[in-house]
Amino acid sequence: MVHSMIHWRSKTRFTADIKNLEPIRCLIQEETQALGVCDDDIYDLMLAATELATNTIEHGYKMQEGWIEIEIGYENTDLVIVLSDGAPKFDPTTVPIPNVNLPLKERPMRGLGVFITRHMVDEFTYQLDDAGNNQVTLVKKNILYKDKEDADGNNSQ
Amino acid sequence: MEITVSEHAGEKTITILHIDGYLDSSNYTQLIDQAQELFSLGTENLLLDMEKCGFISSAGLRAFYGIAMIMRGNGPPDSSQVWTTFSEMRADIDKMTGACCKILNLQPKVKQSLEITGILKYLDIYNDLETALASF
Repeated sequence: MVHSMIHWRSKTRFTADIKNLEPIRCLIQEETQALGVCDDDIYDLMLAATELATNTIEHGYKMQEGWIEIEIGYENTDLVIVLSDGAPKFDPTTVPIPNVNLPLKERPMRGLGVFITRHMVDEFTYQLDDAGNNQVTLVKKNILYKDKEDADGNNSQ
Repeated sequence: MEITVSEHAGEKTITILHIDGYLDSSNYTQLIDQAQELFSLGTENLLLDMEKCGFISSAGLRAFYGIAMIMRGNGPPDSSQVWTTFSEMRADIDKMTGACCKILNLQPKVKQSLEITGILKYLDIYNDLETALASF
């Protein structure tokens, strides 16, 4: 899907610190609530972003200094969140999907966070931005119903 | 996240940890440390009350795993054995043996989101206090 008509609402840069997971969730909650997204969908988006940001901080930056940028926007009735970071290049969409039906002892160790992320959104894509930073795009479809012009603070009369 | 501790005195003494707030990678070790402290003070039966915990990431599963390890008397958690531990914990529950860790009142959305991992079925989860207490 080409997102050529995304209306961006915010772009916020956070220090790559595990303590910023809650502020990242608060940002997503505020922005999506303003767009009229229901609580269940907000939870899904917060969980997906938390899992990805956690992986970036713990495995990408290996708990060292860094940044994570969160962009939130919408396209028609779809909600779009882009997470960017300057950690070493890593495409989380290539993480193998664990078979959750296997007996526990036969399961691979890694990939639970990405597995959860895949289930929380409808689109989960990776690319490098123009500066070579990791950029993951999450899309949850058909979850916006409120008048978005009102949400943007515009006069819709 | 705030953790408060209460005790239910009965045939068995059951220690209840009441979790208030969110549980993610920033604070899950706090919960494990609390369980470790209680275990070292002699706690044998632990109930995690999650009623006021409105958000749990996959790190919460790490916390449940870590606490299961502690309550089994296996010492500090080793992440390389996570799946084995969940499996053995279920076996313990089925056989009603070993130190016990049970979970009470997972919020519906939290439960739904973690159910996809297939791991919750290996945990002993209750929806009401009375049944949870009687299960020890």
